[in-house]
Amino acid sequence: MISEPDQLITIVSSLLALVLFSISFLAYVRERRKKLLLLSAAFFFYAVMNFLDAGDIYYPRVGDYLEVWGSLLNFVVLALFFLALFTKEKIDDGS
Amino acid sequence: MEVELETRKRIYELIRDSPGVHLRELTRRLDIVIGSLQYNLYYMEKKNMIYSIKDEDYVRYFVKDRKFGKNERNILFFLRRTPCRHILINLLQNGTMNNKELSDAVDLSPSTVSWHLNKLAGSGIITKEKVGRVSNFTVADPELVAELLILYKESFLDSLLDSFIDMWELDKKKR
Repeated sequence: MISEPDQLITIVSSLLALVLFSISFLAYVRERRKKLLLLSAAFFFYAVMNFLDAGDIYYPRVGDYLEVWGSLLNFVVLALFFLALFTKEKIDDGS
Repeated sequence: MEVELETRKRIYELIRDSPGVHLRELTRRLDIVIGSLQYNLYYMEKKNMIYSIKDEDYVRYFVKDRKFGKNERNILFFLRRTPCRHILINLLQNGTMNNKELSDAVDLSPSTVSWHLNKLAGSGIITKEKVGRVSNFTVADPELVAELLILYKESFLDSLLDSFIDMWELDKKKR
């Protein structure tokens, strides 16, 4: 059960990450740009990472296993943001 | 064109927000001369945007629920995107414009404007005509786009998505 303030913050962060994923995914659906797809993927994995953190509150015994996945997802999220930063959209200038 | 569109949009929005509003009330609340208001109401009724019912004392106005066809839904989809909406408004006002003129008018970089123009041309909302090395763009059905601009209402979600896109600088402003 949630008993500590930091546990509550973890749960709220997870939900906030999910909201950010929803917004970025809807933006991708509307605009169809690769950069937005990378951003929504990054927010999605960030949300998953947070939910794994939150899962630790309920299933503390699988802690080591979750930590490995947490570290891996951390890297994936940063890599996706990095890729989004350097993604150039191909634009035909019409001339 | 711009003034007319704006006036009709104001009239439409007031009728939508106050169903059953009558002519005198519309004049008072919109501060439009009665002749111009009557002309615009007549046009909007003819275009099936609104309808009127005469009771004992007044003619009362209501907005019409309309089902949008595939082409209309396609135009509305583009109107939800702020840069595309600004591009279409400028094209309606000026008839034909090229990328550079539009880029100056909507204050976005030429490459960003080009991105949106290609999407609009690809869906048949605007037409592209090459004159030498320059491409000129025109709205394919100005009447329909103008009509849908009156009906269009920006939603909270659309402005939220626009803010998100701005944050990541996908629609680059000119430096």
